[in-house]
Amino acid sequence: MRIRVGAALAILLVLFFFSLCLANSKDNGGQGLGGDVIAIDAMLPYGERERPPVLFPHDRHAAYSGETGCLSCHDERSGDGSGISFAFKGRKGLSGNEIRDLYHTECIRCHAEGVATKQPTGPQICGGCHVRDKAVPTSSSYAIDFDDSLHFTHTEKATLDCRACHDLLNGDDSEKSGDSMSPGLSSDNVSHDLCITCHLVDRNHKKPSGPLSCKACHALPAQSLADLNPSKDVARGGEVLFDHDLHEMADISCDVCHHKEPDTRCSECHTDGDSSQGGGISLYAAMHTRNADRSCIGCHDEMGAGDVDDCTGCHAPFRTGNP
Amino acid sequence: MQQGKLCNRIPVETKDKLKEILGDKGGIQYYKEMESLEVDVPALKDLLKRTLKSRLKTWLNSCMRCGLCADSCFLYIANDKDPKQVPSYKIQSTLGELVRRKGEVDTQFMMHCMDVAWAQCTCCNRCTMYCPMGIDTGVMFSYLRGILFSQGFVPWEMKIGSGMHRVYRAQMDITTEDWVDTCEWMEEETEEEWPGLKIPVDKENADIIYTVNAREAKHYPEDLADAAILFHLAGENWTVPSEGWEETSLAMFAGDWEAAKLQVKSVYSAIERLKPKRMVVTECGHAYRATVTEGPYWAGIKSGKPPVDSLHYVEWVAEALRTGKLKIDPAKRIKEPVTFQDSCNYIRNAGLADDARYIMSQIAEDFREMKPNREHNYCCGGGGGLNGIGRYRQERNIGLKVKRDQILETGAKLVISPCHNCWDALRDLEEVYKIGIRWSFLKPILIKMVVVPDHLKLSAE
Amino acid sequence: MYQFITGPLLWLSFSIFFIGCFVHVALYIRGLDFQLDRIAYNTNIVSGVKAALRSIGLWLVPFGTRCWRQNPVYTLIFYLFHVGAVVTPLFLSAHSVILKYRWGIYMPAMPDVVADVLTAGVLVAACGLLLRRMLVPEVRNLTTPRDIGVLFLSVAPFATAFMAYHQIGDVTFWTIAHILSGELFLVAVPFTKLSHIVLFFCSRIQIGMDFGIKRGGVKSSGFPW
Repeated sequence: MRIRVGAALAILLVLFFFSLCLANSKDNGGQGLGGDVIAIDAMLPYGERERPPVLFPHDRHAAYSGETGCLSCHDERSGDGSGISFAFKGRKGLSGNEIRDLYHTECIRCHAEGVATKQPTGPQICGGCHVRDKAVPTSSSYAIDFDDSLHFTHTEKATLDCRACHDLLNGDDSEKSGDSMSPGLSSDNVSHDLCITCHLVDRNHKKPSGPLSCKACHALPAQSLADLNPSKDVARGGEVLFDHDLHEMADISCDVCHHKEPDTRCSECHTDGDSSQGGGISLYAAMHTRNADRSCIGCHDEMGAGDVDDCTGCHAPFRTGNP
Repeated sequence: MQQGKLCNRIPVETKDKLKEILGDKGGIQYYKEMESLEVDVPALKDLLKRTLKSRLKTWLNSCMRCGLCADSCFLYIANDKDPKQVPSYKIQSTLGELVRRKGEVDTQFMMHCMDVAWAQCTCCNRCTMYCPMGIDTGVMFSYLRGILFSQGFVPWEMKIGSGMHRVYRAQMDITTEDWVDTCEWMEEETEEEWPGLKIPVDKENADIIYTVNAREAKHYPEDLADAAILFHLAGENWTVPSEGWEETSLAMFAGDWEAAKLQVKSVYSAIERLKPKRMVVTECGHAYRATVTEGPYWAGIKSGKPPVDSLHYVEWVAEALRTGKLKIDPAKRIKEPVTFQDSCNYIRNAGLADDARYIMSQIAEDFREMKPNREHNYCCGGGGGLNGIGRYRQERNIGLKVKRDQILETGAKLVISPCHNCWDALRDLEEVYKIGIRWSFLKPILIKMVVVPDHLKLSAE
Repeated sequence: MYQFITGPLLWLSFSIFFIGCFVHVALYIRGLDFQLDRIAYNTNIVSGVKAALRSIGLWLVPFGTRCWRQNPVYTLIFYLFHVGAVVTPLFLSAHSVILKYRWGIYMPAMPDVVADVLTAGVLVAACGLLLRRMLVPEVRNLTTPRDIGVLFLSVAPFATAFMAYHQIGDVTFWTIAHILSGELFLVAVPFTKLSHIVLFFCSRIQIGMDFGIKRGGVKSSGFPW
């Protein structure tokens, strides 16, 4: 009897292995590789990770989000009632293993539900999400090709005012509401906040809107991060054709603008970034701050009649189409 | 089912039957008959069903076959590490196989089992100490011997031995009269040297009831005299029973549990009859095991203890030396290197190693331990009845090599051996290998060196 | 597949494992017989319990017994195998996550690095045990195909886990194979000598009591295993 039980067990074991080999001989699809991959490395600040970070294919998830849409995974943004918080829902205020447990609970639950309801679903096993040694470029290595025609689409078709985007993009944070930003994340989220919220609000109002999927914007081929720093010096329109003579003739003293040395250019101290150079005032702020005597707009406001609200007074019109 | 005239499933119960089987010198006809002794499979199945319980089943099934028991077996070492001598293999290929076949085995298999059970295991239980799973192969072989006995597959001498117990309540043909006569004779023999020495038979309410090995009564009566002298010197109030004086049990070696029960009950009823305070048993290992360690269970005593507190002879000697009942004359202590043979049955299986060491520290100046020693000591080579079975003389002699080497390593020429089986094995060891050793029980050694109290000295002195 | 084998099949495996182990222990205790075993389990309880604990304790401690000390290499292999085999599955972070998610049971977990080393230890030790079985004559002679089979059965979950964790080859395959082989192991426990998971303790307690109650435990300071 015992010998038979043993033999049966041995045969079963072998059968299991062979059937598994066959069942899994096809490529299991792998992860969605491309511009939509987000590395979930929430555990990074808490010491060495046990497993590789999850490479999360956002578009594949968004495609199956069903009726609840973004709200399946994201909280509605508090305040204006439109748009979403970009952090994974329930994530805020958690730390350490709480974050890990939240992701485990929610991801595993959803993937399991998919099986239960016979819907297409994600991996069930640990290694399905925690993929080891796979150098997958994440979405941030896929640049956005915001070319002239796309700019045109935003300014002309969507009739967006310059400041709708540029104030925020250039660091005027007066409009940033606290909960739109994910905690501790880079300023990349400013553009996510800006673009996606706008696209989303339009879509919710049944207006023609921009795309919501990652890949639709992050469309340029993946590059190394070093190559990715978009050159801000390449002007494709919108330059300010500053007439120095005109300002001299207006009897403005040199040191109103050149407040350091007569030969020092604005951008030598006021840089693009958030550095403390130039008194922490960015180049954008140096030009646009309303309540400063030295800034262009501050001065124009004072001298002119009322607030300056037309960018094109200074900035050249954006070129449309090909030059 | 075919049975032989001598070799059969029926135990020897009468003097005539005993005489008949004893007449078959060396068991030549007996073993011939065994070759055609059929196995009573239904009875065997029934026996297994009734007695093969969880402990034995677990031992058989949970053997991990790791082989750690190999080096623990002196027969494995003596046989040049023959894989067939590994305890686990020995029991698995016999009892294990028998259980796996659910008792459906043939004569040839049973004879093989017999040869393994009596010639390849002395039930010394040493392997038990080396098994991570706590498997006691010695106990399993004892059980197998019981099965084999019930089917008649038992060595000739064992059949006779169990018959002796059934007929005489002793391992030899000694009647109550013979025994009482011997006691009286020994009393007379010592009269001259030890005036006032008595060997009190059937004295009630004594402090000590002394029980012996029938060999002492039949072949070495001076041992009884020695015991009497030492009790006399120690001033003990002691007695021997006229019946129930035999504490050995060849029935235990034979696997005849029924006879073993009859035998030990005879001793216990002597205790109940004479109401002594304690029992002291002679210098015999298996006797102590049979009467003190295992006996209560055969007799069905729930506490697992004999009716009165029972001491092996070394316990009594150690106690007498500690309390000063016996005093050693320091000048007469053994000067030459001397070693001690730890008996499996009362050292490993009864925990008396310290008492033995204490005695040696008192009587010897150059005591040398064997390696290994105490509970880890090897069997003398002749335990479990192996000494007495002619069919396995060759196997026994090979097994003696381990003890030979152990003794040679100590450099001692004198071996103290308070166990009849070990004593016999040492005698045969010297006969076979001629290494120039002497061997002795404790009693003759003690008598030579104890201080005689003034009031017991001969007045002539 | 995954949901089934970690759902109903896992329940089934655990049920068979736990019920099987329980039945083994229950039958063991029920089958004890003071007269057949020749041990008065109910007398000298203090001495019996003390000896039983000693009997288990000394054998669980590496080099705690004379037998372990006499076979240092085997002892190392043995403990490498058993410590890894017992500790790793119980305190693995991935198992802890599943336990917490499925049943809300909190199990402390050890770092994956430790688990990884222990797993590798089990694999190395298993190779050692296998080699020993094949090369040492007295062990080879004792070995039956079942012994090899049981060894493979108990190592399979570790080998597959190792492959899955390090994602050598197809992760899904190895993970599924890991779960199935683990369940096969659980199911096999009551029906093979793997039942020594519980019977080891039964047997050691029993023989400890044997020596403690009957064979000299009362008369000596404790049996020198």
